Amino acid sequence: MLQYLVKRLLAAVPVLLGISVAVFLMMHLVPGDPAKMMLGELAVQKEAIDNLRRQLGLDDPIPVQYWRFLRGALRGDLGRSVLENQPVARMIWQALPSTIELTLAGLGIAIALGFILGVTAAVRQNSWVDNASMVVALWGVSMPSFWMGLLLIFLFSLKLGWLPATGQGGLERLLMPAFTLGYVASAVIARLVRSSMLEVLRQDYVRTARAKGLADRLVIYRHALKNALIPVVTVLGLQFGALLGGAVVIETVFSRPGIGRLAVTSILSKDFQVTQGTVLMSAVFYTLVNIAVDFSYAFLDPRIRYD
Amino acid sequence: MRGRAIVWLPALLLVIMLIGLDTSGAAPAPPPDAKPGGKLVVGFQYEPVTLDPHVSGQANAFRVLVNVVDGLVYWDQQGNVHPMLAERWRISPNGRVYTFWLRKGVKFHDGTPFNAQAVKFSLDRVMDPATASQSGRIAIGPYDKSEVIDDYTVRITLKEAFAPLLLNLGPGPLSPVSPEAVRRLGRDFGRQPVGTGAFAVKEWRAKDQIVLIRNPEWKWGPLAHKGPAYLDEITIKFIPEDQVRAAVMETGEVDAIEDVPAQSVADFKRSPNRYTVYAENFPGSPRQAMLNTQKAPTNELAVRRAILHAVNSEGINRTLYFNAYPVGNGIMSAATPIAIKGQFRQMYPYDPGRARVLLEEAGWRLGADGVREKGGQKLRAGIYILTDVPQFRPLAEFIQANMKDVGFDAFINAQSRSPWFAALGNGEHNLAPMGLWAADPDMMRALYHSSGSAFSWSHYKNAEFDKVVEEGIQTTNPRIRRALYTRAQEILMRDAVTLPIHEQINLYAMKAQFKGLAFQVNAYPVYYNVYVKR
Repeated sequence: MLQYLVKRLLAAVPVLLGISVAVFLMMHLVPGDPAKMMLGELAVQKEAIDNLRRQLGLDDPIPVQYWRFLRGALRGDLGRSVLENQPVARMIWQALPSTIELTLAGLGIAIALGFILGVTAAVRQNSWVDNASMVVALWGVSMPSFWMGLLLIFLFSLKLGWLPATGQGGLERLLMPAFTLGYVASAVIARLVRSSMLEVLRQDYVRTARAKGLADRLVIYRHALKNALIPVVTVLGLQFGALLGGAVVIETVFSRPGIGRLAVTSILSKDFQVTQGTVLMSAVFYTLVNIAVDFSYAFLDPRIRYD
Repeated sequence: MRGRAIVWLPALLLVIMLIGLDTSGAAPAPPPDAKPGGKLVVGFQYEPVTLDPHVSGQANAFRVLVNVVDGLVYWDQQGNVHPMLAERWRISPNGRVYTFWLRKGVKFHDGTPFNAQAVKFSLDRVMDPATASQSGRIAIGPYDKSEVIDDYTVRITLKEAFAPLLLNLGPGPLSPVSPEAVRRLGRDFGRQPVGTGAFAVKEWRAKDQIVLIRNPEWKWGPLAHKGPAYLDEITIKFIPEDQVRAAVMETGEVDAIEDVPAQSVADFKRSPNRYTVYAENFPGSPRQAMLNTQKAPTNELAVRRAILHAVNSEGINRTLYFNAYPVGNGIMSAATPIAIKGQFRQMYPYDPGRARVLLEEAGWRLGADGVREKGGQKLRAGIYILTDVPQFRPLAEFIQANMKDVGFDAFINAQSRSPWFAALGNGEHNLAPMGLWAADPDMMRALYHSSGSAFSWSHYKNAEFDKVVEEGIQTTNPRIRRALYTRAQEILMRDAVTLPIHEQINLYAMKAQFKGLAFQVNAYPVYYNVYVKR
């Protein structure tokens, strides 16, 4: 088991290295000179721009610059924001709790909603409950999240006055953004849980369990659902990435601070150090979550072992 | 989002009085119902990148900063100058030496004293290349040095005359800051700027909010009420989405919003008991499309004039902005304090028929595909816009459709900031939509002088015009300056170097119980006079 963990972590290294190279190159191939950005487009004195380029090390060959970036990143130093003149690591560290809070809450809502809809639909296959659940799910897959966010604000903030529309802190400010984020993911999960459950419900051991006279609820939740979980958990790991991406939009609509907004503003203003940092951080998270997902299989299905 | 295409060219201005005097005359007494206390929450669209006045080049930053830092002088919205940190001043007859006698007993927010050394430190800091100053470096002009005559007298010497300097010494990019705080905070100064203003920065949570608190020591306000501010605290929240920013006014999460979406203005105006809507015209250029005078086909005068006749500015205002933005005045906004309100735009009324005639006369014949041609060349023109200013897209599409009507094949090229600036600098465009905020007509030199600047996107070359605007900064006499700049605008409009579209307006909405909001010369809100009517 431990051996497997080490193996997986080692395998993650080239993945992360690849991402770091890709991000680094992308930011350097996009036109636009960071030194000029920093001095402002008003800067016309070439001397000042050249000076700054030297200071930032932008004159060095790309591989040298990359090596410097990588060495720093390994020590937790992601460089300084070209525009805000602050350490990138600190900016990310400040934005991170808010995004983690949002993503976890979104995931929670996605799982709760996805399972309720999916299991109900599977158990009552082809009934109106099934159809209704899948319509709700289809809505979630089709509706753009910023639109959903605006509709929620319109209803719960403007019309009913129950929830604040902006900011961060407290459950009341988390509910709407988390629901918007989770709803889209819940739709994907619901559809998967349904098909996975349908398959499991047709298995012999389920019929046996029912034949023994076990209560329906026990059969569904103890016997069937656990076995239907594996494909669902895999998708959950992938959905986590989608949620991180979704935070970009949600944080803007609900005016929340966080990694998503940090990434967007840095991309628009070509604050390349910040973009590199945020993308790298997200990649690390994503990789770790998916390793964790692989490990969860063993708990769900004792037949799976890690050698 | 970093600022906008609109860049704040530091003010510049007009009436340079030889000896500073309070020109406000008999100022009305503060209202009797004004009592200290209360908090204000304001919703902003964009977060500033830094609040270091000497570094920033962003209007978003200065909208906050004019309440946090003071100027040696203060310019009101009508273009009158008032003493602020300087009690009086003198400008030498050759316009190169400025002497300021400073107010005594002023302290920075960190408790350190304000004095001549702090003024010199601040101006030298703007000049230091390590500061990487944006607006400040332009505002300070041909600065040579500052000398401390005594603790409360400072002498500023310029290499040559530069009439806009006194205007630029108002609250903004040349404002004195605490030297002690700069040394202590180093690179973090921009997150916690320390000035002498009516409000001090208490906290800045990135992508969330900035909190300002009242400076109880402050008592040199330029309006009837001298200070300190009535409000205890101002919270500035960043709410990027237009609809959400307008909605939270109704939910009560904010008391005021900047950048009111044009489509919401009418809604707020419908409830005057609940909201006050301010529409303050920014001085500077109108929102305009600069026409490249060097690249075909806009290098032809007739083609440029045809574009001015072809574009329906009224229609743009009605269709895109719900009549929130009046049609552009001409080269300078109607609010520019030197007050050249010539309505130059009327030289080119909307008249597609006239545009077609001009093009025909210039030899551009209509082809079978509806696009005009001359000598095998199509009448093709590129409109270059910025991707991160969403308002540019519909505007460019409207212009494109109007131009198509008279036989142009106009195309839109959208780019991000750096390549956009590069393309315009290289002159790859035909039309460049933009806007510049500036309180002095010297702005025209930055845009149209043949020596070029970061914004000379008309790539205009005219020795006669150059001479006029060069004279404009030599003199401080308002009458002479007005005559010179009127001439300058006539030349530019005659040569149709730009397409003025609409005035740039600061749309601002506030709950009606808040009274006393004032605006300074750049149309930025000044909060120290705001009080809650109970």
